[in-house]
Amino acid sequence: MFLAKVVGSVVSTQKDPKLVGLKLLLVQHLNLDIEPTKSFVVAADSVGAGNGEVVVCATGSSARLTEETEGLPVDAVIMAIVDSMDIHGQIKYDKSQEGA
Amino acid sequence: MNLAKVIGSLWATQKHHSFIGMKFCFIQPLNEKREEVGNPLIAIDPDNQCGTGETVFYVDGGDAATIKEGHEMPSDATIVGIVDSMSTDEGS
Repeated sequence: MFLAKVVGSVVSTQKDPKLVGLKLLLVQHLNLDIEPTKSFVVAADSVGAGNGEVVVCATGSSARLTEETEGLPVDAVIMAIVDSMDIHGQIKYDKSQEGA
Repeated sequence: MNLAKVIGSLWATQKHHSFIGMKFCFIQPLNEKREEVGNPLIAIDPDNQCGTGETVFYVDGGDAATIKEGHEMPSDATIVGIVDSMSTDEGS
């Protein structure tokens, strides 16, 4: 899985019929210091993520194992919203401190 | 399966229900000499047994989704064991 930030939503009228009703979000990869990198992915949402939130995305066939994406042509899904994280014992992100 | 070192952890209250009771870890893949290779990633620790600094092995891709019988989860990297010791022809 990779760490990402929700940076926008994707609206599409002409798409695979199976994708009708699915919430698609644009997410940007983050490094371990929560800094954005240059790569973006369109991911389906299974947890109700919103703009600006730091999330965890699963890719590949595993992305089709949520109720929202089962059997759909999807290869990236948001399956967790990050509350906090630490690397080598150092807190790198804490959602409750954001915007304070 | 691949070798990796646990370098951190991640907490999430809002997550897919199949992950309830499981921990997310940041892992850094290692080669056979235990040197870091590639980029760090997030893996599921299904039994909550790993701590930062431990060497583990994990499965990735679609195999990571069904490590428990009858329990499918949207995971593409799952820790399946903690390394006690390992040796190669060149030594431990």
